[in-house]
Amino acid sequence: MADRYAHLRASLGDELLAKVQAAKLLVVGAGGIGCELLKNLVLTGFLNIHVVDLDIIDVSNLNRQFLFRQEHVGMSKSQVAAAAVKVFNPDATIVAHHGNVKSPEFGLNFVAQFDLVLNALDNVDARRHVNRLCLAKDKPLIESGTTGYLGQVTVIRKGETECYECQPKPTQKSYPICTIRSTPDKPVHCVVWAKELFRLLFGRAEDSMLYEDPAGDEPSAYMATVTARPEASADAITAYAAAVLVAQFETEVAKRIGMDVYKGAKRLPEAVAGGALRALAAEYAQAPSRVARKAGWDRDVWGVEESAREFSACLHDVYSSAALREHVGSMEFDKDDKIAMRFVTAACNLRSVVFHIPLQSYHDAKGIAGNIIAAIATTNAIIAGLQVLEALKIMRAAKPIREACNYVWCLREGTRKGLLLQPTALEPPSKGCFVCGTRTVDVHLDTAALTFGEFVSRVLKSRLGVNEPSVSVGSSLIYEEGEDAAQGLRANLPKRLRDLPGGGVTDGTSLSVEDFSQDLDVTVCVYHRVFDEEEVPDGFVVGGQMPVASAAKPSAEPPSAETGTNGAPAAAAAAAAAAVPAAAAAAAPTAQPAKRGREDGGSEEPPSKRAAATVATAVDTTGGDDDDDVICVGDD
Amino acid sequence: MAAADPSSDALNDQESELYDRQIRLWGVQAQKRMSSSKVLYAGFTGVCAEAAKNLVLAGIHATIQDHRAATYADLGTNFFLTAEDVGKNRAASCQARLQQLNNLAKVDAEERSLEELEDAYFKQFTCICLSGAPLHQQKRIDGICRSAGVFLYVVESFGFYGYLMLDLGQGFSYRKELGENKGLSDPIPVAFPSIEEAVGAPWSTLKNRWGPVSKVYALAQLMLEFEEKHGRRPGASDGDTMTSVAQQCLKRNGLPTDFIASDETAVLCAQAQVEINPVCAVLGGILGQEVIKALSQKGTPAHNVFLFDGTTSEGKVMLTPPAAK
Repeated sequence: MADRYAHLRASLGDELLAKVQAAKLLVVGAGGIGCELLKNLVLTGFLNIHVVDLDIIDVSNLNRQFLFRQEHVGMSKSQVAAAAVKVFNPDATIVAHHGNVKSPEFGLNFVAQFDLVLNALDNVDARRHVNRLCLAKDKPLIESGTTGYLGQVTVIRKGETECYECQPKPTQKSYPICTIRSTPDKPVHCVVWAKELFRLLFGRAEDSMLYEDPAGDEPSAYMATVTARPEASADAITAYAAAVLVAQFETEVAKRIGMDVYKGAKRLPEAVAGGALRALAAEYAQAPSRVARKAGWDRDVWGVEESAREFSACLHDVYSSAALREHVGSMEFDKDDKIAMRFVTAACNLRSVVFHIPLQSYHDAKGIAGNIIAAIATTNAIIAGLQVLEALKIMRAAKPIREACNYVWCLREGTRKGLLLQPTALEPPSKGCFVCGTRTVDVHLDTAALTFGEFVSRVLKSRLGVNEPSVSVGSSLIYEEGEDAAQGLRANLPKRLRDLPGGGVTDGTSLSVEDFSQDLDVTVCVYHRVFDEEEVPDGFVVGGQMPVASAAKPSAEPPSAETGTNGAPAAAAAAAAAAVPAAAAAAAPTAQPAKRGREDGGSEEPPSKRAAATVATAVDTTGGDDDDDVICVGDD
Repeated sequence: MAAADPSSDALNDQESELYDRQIRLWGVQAQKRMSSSKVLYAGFTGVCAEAAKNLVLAGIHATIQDHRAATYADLGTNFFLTAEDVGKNRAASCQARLQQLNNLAKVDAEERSLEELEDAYFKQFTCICLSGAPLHQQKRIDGICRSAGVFLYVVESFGFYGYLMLDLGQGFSYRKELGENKGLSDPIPVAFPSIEEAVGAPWSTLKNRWGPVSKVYALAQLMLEFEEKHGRRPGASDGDTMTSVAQQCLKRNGLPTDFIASDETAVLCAQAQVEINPVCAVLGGILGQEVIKALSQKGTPAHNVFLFDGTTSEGKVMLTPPAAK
């Protein structure tokens, strides 16, 4: 019979094709991999598919997310994708859900209806959540990721294979506050600083790492200037721009040099002359963005003069526009907002000049500031094709999943055997996994410094991926979230861990953490430890084993005085220096996949000042702006 | 259509925005080269549809050639076709839908058959992806490509298997990416054998330290051999004929006659004219990647055959004829 399934029937056989056509699938993500995957699935005879995605279509998606066109920009990815693939196979029923897979409507009961779940995600956070849902409901999960030319596919099945969390995932890179504020030595430090300056000038200033309390002991070199917002007149704006430029790039720099912050540094920072900055602020009409832009302008690198003019031009753009100035004090940085990105590029380069750091073009600064990950159609197509091949093996059900399926790498350069696509055996579950194994995890932190709110948002949610935690010590519940949660327990959030009720959380305390939305029940063992901020900017280390390095190398370099740390005790500092933060482990050239995660914006507790600094500092080097994902290294 | 200005060494704002995520991977110069290149997809099979999708999205102009009419079975892999196109020319039916993927890349259709197209026709392209063509056509077009400096990719997807043979000519060179911030290697020359030389190498010489010649390679060559003898690709009822073709081939190539079992030749017959989408997606992705490597001259190209086995998901590169020791 010559129909659209003729080839499939010949290749799969009637029995397998019937299983495929009857199966009910969940696809999580309709971005780079998701578009390809949905197409592949309906062409392979899968007729019953739900797809969840919270994103809307952006123009930068169109080079690879082939279900989307220019006229779809701004529309829901899941809805447009569902309609598009329906054309490829009108027999298919595609149900589109525009929403976050972590929200309650896509919880355990939702997942229970499917035979198979396929991830096409771009962040670790959602992957962890779907992993837990699939473990809880015993659904096979086909996981995927791509970054540039590289990608991988794997299959997860409760009790048979490693789960997504059996191998630790590299976490977001955080930078110590003092590196950003005083001792930058990489372009990324200047980009982070520029984003913080953006927040100070246009956003919630008190959340900026550069915010200095006007009531503090030391007079600030710039706060009074920054907060003296100008009227809408051009002269007033120019005067404001000049004052801010001088305060940031002359006065503040000179002040830090005067404080001997850079004693012992190879090269002192150099302040920019205030007179020149004032003159340049007035030349905003000659800013690079104002003069006729030629093709490729975003690859040009602005020096001091262009950057200072551009800096001023951005302030003019904001303050001379009634619509924009209204939002001063509440703006959020967005890499796709041209004014914000011009400002960050200009400020980054002025900062870089001061600290003798290479300057960045608008294009490159945008890549750093937005943590943009290169992404192409070919890799996504390959990975999505491999996912469907694994799906067919699961449908065939000839063997247990761990025997039938593979972990497959897509590589840029062939292995010694010439493999560009390299299948490897699936690993059994890791016994120590806190999600699918022991259900126990150790956390080392300073119980005297960390508040319970920070612990909930940064340790439980951001790092451990708990969605709606309920926390108990012994038999007493100290916190819960979700429907019908006891609101009175929120009073515990501002308390230091050791001041919590029931004797507090101190060295050796076990917390019981449950999340009903993920069917997760974990014991978190807390160990008291004071870390040096330079070495462990997060302020905590998660893991059953403290790094071996601390025993082997007891005297790692002590933090140098010029970094301006607050004098951590020498012993603790040395120990902390030897601790291997997750980010460092991530950089190690192992054959493990390195997944990346979006900057987490999901915590509902306003982070404390210190937490804000660390979280805000995270230029999510492990997180991408949209779709796709992963960094992988492989060898045979 | 707003075509790229090839004389300028910069991209305009529209190109910059649209191609942002890929330019961050291969750079502005490679994008300029790609935007001024044109690929012929000769035989618009499922695997070519996948490759064309990938490369038109990347900004490379396309001509899709096919003289055949679309069938219902084609709808299973060629997603540019709909039921209304059945009975109509495949290339003409797909042209508009492929064009919709990117208005910065020009998409043309060519309905004449390969036999009807003169040698000169093929010389206008930067690359040719040839699919579903008999071996003698492969050799003919390869001869033209080698003399005109056109890159040739012969691609076949049959059942769970995929086959890709490249001829980038004798004077090709590329640069290897040396890792982040380390830039590129000096140019590395790599000479490709012709299709004739490649398929002429006895299979017994294609073994290496990891084993004998790839079975996927042998099956692909058997399929082409059958086609040369019988004027068509094998079908499900050709099992016996194929067994005798296989016996002759194996003997001629210095391999034991049980190297390919009769049930394997039966599967080959049943699958030779069958394409399934996941294999097309993987192979079309690899083909796209290889075209991008060649146009950007970055990254080691597959030298000169890539073989995919969809039952194991293994995809590997082999060289035929083998390098002289």
